Amino acid sequence: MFNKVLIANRGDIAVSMIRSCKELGIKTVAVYSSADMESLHISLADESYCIGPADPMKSYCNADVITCTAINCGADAVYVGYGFLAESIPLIEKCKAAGITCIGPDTAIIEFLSDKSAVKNLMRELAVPTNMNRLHGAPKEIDIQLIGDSSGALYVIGDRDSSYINNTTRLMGESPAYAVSDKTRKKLYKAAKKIAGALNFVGVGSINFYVDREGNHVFKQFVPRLQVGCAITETQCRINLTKWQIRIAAGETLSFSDEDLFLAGCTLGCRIYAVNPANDMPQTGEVSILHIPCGLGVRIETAVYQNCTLPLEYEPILAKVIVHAGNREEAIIKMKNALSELVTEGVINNSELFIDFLNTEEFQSGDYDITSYSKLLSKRTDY
Amino acid sequence: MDKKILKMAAEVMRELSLNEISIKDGETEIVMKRDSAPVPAQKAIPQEVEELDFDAGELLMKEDFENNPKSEITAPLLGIFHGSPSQSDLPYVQIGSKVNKGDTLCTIESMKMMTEIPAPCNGTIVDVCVADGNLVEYGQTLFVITADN
Repeated sequence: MFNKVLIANRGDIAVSMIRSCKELGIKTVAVYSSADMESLHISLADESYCIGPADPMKSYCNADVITCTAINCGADAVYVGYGFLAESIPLIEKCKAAGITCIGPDTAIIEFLSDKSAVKNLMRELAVPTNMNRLHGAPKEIDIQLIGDSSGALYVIGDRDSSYINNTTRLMGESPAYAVSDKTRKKLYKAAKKIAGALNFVGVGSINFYVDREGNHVFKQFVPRLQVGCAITETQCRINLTKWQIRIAAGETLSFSDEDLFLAGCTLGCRIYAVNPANDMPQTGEVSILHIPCGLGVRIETAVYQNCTLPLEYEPILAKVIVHAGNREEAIIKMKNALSELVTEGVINNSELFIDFLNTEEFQSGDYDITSYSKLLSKRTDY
Repeated sequence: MDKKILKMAAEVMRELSLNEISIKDGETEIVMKRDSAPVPAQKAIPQEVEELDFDAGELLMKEDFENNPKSEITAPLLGIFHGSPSQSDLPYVQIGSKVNKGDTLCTIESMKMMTEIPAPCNGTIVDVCVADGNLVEYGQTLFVITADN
């Protein structure tokens, strides 16, 4: 196992990675930009270094400075998670040259997946459709979560409906994907396992498909790393994927099989931003009052604290609110209650948008797709 | 006055390179001064320096050195601080060095690339805040300089 891990991220992602390291008895190093001097992840880590100015290209996305910090603080691994340098070949290579492991996908799979024609050829070989014309109407986006270790074990750990998106930003997810039939689900799991198996996938990743109302599917992409929806799957399946990603990188093998997975109930997750729902304006400045919901089955991932300042330079994310309940109806009520309890002053949050969506017939029936968010926005009048 | 005290004072002066010391016993008064003669900045020995894609002086220039008699010079990037061109060389500057705008004060090494840190103005180095070979963070104070005029 690693001795010291440099966390090359910020915000709630960094906080959750630091927590996972602590649970594994690993020392942590936080890095931060000059705009993040008072960020929570700095105070949770054992060591911290200011690596550059606010501009991410000169700090969180600067492979040289991150490798240099890792070498000089004696870290034996670097963990990006997702965003910033999560799939950066230069970072992996620079770290490797210094004997440091990058926790996440290896260069071979990143290179392969960035070659669109190679991916298309593979899908053709595996008989996985890639042609959007085969779908009728606006589709859903369904993620199949995967985990694989170096011994060749590869499991599907549930699925998510990630159709509630703003352009490409995932706003909400649910696991399992309520509207997907068992027949379609089986088909997607099989396809996902086939793709990941063909690439000898090791680590935590997901394969995203577009699925129409008739259950036709098309391969969208293979995300060979953690992604935002992982927190939903973690809660649904009671597995810490952030932690497993570290273990797998350290060469450990999976201690469970897909038959051991706990899949009952329903998990919903919302990404709440400091954005004014009336005009989509991002909010910055001090969070003068903060009340965070809690209770049985309510999980909050955040790096925000009372009187903290949201820097202008980054996405104004406040929190991921994740709820788990025995069934979907209960989970919806729990989520609405949790969102109503989330109070911020100083900055406006957009939790109302989610409550409104949870109340729509479209959501309740599960019959929503990747255009639903923009449709809801166009109808809004009273925020 | 006790000869011992004189001897001690002389030793302290030598150790700290002071040019003035004043000791008073009753009600204790100690005055120590160090206005060492300016040491001319050593010319940087040319070496291979790779160009970074940002202006190392960018951060430095934001401060108004001309109107601030004493200013801090901060690191424009994270890396290893080198106070001299190589271990066998004399430091670029030390406390008391007179420098001209643009003179190299130190280099910061990041991933085998050396970035020269130039003096932001004409002046005198009044403090060197980092020891050779140490890791400096972005924005960390490297030197304190007193600008001329």
